[in-house]
Amino acid sequence: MKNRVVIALVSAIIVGFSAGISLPTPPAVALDQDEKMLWSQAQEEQRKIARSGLVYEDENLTAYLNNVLTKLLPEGGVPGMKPKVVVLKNRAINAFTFPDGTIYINSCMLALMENEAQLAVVLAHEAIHAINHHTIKEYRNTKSKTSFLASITVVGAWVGAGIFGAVGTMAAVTGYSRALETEADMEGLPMVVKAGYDPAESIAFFSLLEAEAKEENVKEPFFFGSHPRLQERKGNCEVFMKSAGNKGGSTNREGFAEALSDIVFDSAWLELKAGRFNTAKTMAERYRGTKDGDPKAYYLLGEIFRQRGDKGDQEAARENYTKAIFLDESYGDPYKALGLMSLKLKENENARRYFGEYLARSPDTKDRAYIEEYLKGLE
Amino acid sequence: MKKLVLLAALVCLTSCAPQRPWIKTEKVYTNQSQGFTVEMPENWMRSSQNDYLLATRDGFPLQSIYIRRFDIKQNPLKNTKKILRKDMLPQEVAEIVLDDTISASSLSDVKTEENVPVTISGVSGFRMVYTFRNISGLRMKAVLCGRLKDDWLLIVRYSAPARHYFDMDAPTFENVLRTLKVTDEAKK
Repeated sequence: MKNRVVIALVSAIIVGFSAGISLPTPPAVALDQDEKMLWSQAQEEQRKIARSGLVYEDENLTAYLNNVLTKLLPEGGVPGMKPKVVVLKNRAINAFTFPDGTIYINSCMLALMENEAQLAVVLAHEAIHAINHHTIKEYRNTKSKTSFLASITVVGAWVGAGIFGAVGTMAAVTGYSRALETEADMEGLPMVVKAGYDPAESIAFFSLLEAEAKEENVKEPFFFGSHPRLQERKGNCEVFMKSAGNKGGSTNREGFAEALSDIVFDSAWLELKAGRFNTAKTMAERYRGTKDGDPKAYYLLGEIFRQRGDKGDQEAARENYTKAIFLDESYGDPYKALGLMSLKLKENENARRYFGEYLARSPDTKDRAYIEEYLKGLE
Repeated sequence: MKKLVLLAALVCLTSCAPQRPWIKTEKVYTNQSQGFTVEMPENWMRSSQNDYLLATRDGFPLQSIYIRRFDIKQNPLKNTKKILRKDMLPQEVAEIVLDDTISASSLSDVKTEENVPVTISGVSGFRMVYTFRNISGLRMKAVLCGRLKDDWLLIVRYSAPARHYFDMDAPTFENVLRTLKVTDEAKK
């Protein structure tokens, strides 16, 4: 029965799209008492997130993301809400929306994307959750409201999302029903097309997430947890593509790479710390692609190779450190890394020289005591 | 028959009686299975679990001292896929342990204040001081000391809310750390 409803919904949306009715009609602004309560709770939770230190502060990036969101929204905006994008420093592949239209997107999810069209697919999907009032619909569909909110708070705490509170956890972790998620996909894609983006990138993005889930060894990233599974959602997009016709569109790969370069760099470091070397390498190489003259890109790649330690990695690490030093002779960190490599290989003379160069360039480094201890041992 | 049922019920009740989760710490705490001893302050309580020492005075969220030895062959780090190897330098071990902390989904905004080499019970190790926000968004501060000998990683951690509570029991932790002795390097 549920499947039939979903199919009917998908068909209706596709027919509507083909007939030129591309965007959902914004609902009435007036909120019922229970929805007012949810909005109020959501606002309190958002204040908590703002104080948590989790928000990724980058004015240029925020402006860029909100510009993409504005392109997707109906002209004149959405009555009664001011949708906006906030980036969270978080490795989980996730994006979620509060009822007032605030879309939170995790830094590593952004860093995983390849172009602006993929970003548009995610933002449009999330915007539909807010525009179509999915939070209150989900809430009203539950029999016991109190235990519902309590249980999702527990789930949130369990998966490390306790900071989000009940409304945030529902959006971020437990998600919406399958029908509402499908609705968000199928109404979101026309917004992507209307804004001039290539909707085929939705399928490319799902493939990226599949690879990510495989790398992380998880069944489904949060973005898909308890919703139509990855394959089903990919299938939805394929159905949409067939119906709408593949007319292509913009991806703005270059502009996207430039706007997101810092977050890609930061995310690559987070991935490296988590020991996810392949993802870290992909992100680091992407960063190097936009900032080829940046010695930090080469130092990061050197660290990825050195710490991964696969066959040939030590040589690759050395090459990258050397390139980083070539680009900026005053950069201390690559010298330290070369010193550590030399120390391990018992190339004492080199180790002494590299550590000396490191301390000369970074006299106030926090790990000075370690380096001095190595130098003492090398005497 | 009735007597047999009553006896069985009695045996079951006594054997199933729940163990108290928190008990008063001994002045000298010895963990045979983990192979270490440590002098503990008065009026602290400890978890009755025997796999590790977890002690507090006012309650676990307000201050805690945690001591545990991990077999690195069992990949004890849960949040990073990096692997500890016994030939690693203390600095490398410290950085991987810190990476594991940074990668934990329940913590955020981890900032390192200090990372220096130290000697713990006669073996070279590390000492880190860092702050983080816990799952409720509360700013916490921790001292994390460790050392790797053969296949065993020893972790000694003091953690408390950064404001007020951390400073209050930091000297107590230093005293505990000073008295820590690994009594059996090979044993867990």
